[in-house]
Amino acid sequence: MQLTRRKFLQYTSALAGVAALENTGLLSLRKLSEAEAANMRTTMGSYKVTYTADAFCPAECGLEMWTQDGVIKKIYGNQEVPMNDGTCCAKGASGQQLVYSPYRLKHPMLRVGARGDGTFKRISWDEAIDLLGNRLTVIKKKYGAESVIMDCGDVTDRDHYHRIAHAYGTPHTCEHGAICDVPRRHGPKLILGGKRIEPDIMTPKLVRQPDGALKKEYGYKTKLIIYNGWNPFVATRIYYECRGTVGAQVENGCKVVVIDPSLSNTASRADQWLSPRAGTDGDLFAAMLRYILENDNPKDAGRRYIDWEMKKYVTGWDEFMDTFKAWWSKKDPINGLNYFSAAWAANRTGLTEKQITGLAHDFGITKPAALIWGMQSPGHHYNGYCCSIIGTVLNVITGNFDAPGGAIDTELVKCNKGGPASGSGFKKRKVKRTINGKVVEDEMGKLHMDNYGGRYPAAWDDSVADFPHAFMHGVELKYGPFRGHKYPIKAFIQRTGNAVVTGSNPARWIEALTAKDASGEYKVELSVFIDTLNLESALYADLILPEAGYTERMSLADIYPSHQVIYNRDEVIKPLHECKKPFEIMNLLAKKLRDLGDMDIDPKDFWEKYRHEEDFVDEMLSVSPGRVNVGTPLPYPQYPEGFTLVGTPDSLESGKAKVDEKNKKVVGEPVTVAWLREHHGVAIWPMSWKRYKKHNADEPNKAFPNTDTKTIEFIWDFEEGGKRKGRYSSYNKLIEAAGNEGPKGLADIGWTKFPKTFYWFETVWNPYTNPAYKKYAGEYPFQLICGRVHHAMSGTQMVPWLGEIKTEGTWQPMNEKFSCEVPEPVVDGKDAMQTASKTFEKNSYSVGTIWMNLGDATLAGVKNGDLVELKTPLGHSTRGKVFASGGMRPGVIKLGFATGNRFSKGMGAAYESRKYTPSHNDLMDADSLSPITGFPAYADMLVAVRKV
Amino acid sequence: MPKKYALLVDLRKCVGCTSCQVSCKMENAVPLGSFRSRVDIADAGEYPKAKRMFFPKMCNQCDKPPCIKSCPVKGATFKRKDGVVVVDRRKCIGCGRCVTDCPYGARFIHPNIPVTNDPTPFAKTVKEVRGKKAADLRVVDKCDYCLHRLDAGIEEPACVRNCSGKSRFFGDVNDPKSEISRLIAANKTSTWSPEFGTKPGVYFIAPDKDVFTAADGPING
Repeated sequence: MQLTRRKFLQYTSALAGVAALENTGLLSLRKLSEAEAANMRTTMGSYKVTYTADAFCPAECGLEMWTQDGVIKKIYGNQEVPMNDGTCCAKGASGQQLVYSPYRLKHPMLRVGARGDGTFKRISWDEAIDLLGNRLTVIKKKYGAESVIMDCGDVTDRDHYHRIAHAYGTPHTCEHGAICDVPRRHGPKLILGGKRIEPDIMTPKLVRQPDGALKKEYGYKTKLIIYNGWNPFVATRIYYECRGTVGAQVENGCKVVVIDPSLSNTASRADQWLSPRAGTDGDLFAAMLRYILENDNPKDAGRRYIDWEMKKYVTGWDEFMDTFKAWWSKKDPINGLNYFSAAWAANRTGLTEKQITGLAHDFGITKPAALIWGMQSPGHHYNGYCCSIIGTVLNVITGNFDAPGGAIDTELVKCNKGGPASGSGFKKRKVKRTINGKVVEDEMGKLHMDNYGGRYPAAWDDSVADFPHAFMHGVELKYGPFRGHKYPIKAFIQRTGNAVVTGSNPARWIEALTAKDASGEYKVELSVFIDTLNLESALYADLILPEAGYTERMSLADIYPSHQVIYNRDEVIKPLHECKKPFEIMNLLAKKLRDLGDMDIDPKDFWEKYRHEEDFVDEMLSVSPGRVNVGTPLPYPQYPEGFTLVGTPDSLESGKAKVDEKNKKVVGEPVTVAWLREHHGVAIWPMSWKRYKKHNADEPNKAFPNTDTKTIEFIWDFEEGGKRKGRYSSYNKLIEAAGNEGPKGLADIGWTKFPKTFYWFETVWNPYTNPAYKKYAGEYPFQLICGRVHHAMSGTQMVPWLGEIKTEGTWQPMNEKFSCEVPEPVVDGKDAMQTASKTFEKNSYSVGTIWMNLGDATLAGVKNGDLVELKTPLGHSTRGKVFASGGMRPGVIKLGFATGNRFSKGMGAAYESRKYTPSHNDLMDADSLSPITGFPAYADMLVAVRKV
Repeated sequence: MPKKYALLVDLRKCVGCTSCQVSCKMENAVPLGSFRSRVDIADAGEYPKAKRMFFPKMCNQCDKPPCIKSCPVKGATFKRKDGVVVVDRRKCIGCGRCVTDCPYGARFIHPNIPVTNDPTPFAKTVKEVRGKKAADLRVVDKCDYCLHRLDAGIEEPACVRNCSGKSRFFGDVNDPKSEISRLIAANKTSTWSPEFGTKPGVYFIAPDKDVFTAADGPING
């Protein structure tokens, strides 16, 4: 059907000389008839608009959904939400194809075959809750409630499940954070009590003006952004970075540098793309810090790198710097060069010395600037902690931390929510356990398998990748009051996650979930899967419960803006099929447990307290915004600096708030779902900067950041005023109380206790930085890295509009011909989608691929589209088609997360392509759990390539 | 002066997210495999000089639209005074000539919308519909700047509303004060393949001219 250029030229020449294409004459020029226009206006006027939050991906943007007769017809960004400022990405806009997907879980199901067989029978909700309640009651009596894990995997809105689990008596509640770039967040948490450092490029920001009024400010101040292994244009966790990065570039002349072995979409828009070897991010940062320390000169405007004023706000500067500098004279065994020198970093990263010192100089001299690192760099490396610690220090010492246009730790300034709703208070409940014949009574929370176990006590977000070990071998507590207590894991309840595919190597999970004890029973007696989607983990469940989708339930967005913003996830439509809301599931299970005699479940904590879903969300909002009145300009000059703010923006603004001097709180009228609905779904409190210092004096305000001393801490175990302080001190105290018996993770790198300040250790499976792996470089010449394909995260590859997109080199139209059921949009109908069977021709639909350098591919004798096998030194392998381009550093291969070998039929098109799409996690070393928190080293592996 | 609608894409701000493509599908119930709006993505160059180009494409709402010339049914496709080239689904007989004659591949036969205009009277001169009934044929579809939104007073197509990078601008180019007019006045703009002589009416701020050759496939190709 397509006119080629040649054909077009023939066509136009045939028209030559004919006055055919005039604006008048042969062209019809008219408006639509009035009747047509009126019809359109009527249709447009009949929509109901609901403000809600996305949960299709973790960016959780504010959306407005337009419905007609209870059907979602349109999806746009909410224009009052600064996270996305009215915009909405491809995923958000494709929501109808997820909500109305034929692949959804539709009714409760009970396993009838063996785990993994995928044979289930449909049961009623009554039967399902009865079964779940009975099994949990038996397990609690037989093994203790701590034998149950509630893993609220990949999506937000987990509070209902955490509440019921805590009330039941287990401290084991976790969520997605456990398997998502923990080492990346470690530095900010250690130093600031924060988590995610992001550039100050969210617009608009609500700012107090000199005249006292609040105004939405647009525009950018940032002059330099360095994204290391962070790809916001594709993995849009921090969605405002899409428009903010290019906005700052075009409107403010901001330079953008992207450091990534692959030409990510973000790199493709950068002013400079640096592509180092994989797993050398910390090396680069360490060399930048050394260069800045060695070359800083306060008297030379061309070398004024360090903002020495910063020392006023930092605790432990000298200890950190002395420990860091002590490495400078040591020689690295892998190259004989002095640690952290530019030559050393050049040798390890593969960048040039000039590139490294140039970057350090640019970052030192350009202000305001932001140094950002992401999940694709330190996030998924064994030693990523070192990188995120140095990165945080670099932002602080250059004066960029929380500066206008600088780097903001968004965890510290996001709106507080949740409050008592998540039931953390139940963890204080006293429980008794008999240990070696002795009865011990203490808080239930101290039964936690990670925090008091002997393996990864500093697993702040839990060590989900270590669960298979607990399933197989049970738990033995090594620290705290219950030291010596042993218990098995007998129930694994997984809600909206897919740990079998994403929580480490799938083979390890499958082994653990199918392992049987001597009596032939599954070691993990009960496996439950609660979700909207039918993912691989469901195949290993005994019971499947269909949960209401993200447009069918109520909660709050969990986002990382530059200041406090919160918005509803509202019920847009009623739950489809037989799906139930988390709220309903919580109350149903609570009632059942109580009926079965569990006196730990009090009706007043559940169905008598929360009669409606909205009651629960209102309680979550009762602590909002919950941040301190600090920074410049002071958000609320009428209230004391440093006091915690609670209440709606308008009540705080109008002075309808009580100042509680004793608790240092300002309490206005509580934010509620109803208040949000009346305000475009969203509440916004004012922005300020330099929130660590007094607004009218150059001294710490001692209210921010969120550390023990309320200053920026470069030391993590120290004494002050006779008290032990610092983020690692509590773990070291536990270790000391246990006779200096260190945890397994630290023992892996030869340590007993957590370090007091700067530390360094090497990553694994890296022949360029760790001598132990040098021997593999010849036979396994490629470093394997991975990254999120925004359009194809682990749970949403059944959405065909997103299969029509290609993304970077890891998601390309390289399918074989296949047919499957798809949701197809309905034109002018009552429904939005109808299910149709569709055949996709070869190379018309995007699938996960193996992205490699074009020159490497040529050398290996492979070309675009060839099927190859990747093999690791551990014998793991996977297959996929090659996408070769110049956008990849030679010697590196990249795969998407969970974009291949998808063996659940619920994955739709992705299931159809499973035999020729690569699974990154199939290649990872399940035993390489990083020493500090037990986070899996997803991005450390070597592979060989072989054409199949 | 009457309004003349146009679209401008500032490629310096396009982040390649394809929200425009999917938002269009959502807004206009565009079937799988067909596009009113699409982002063409091209990887080019050798390491380390490689680059990736994003080229958002849609109907150019040409001032000299060849599609209208080729339509055998008077008024089935026409250009409004405000510049939008539209298809009248009640008149289109689905012969597909305009689809063939658009050099940008901006039109497609919509598999889910049957023709309602009886094709029989045209059978003599239009061989494509000869021997076919209306129910056998499907109408042509294309980008119309979300006409239903325009006519409801929302002067913002869905692709502009949802654009992640805020790279798309829509408005009246006859109004010198409109944002799009100001951008056109302040920046060097290009159009896609003006050599076709159709006077394409979608503007691009495109610092890298390679985008027009590297990513030069049709929209529905």
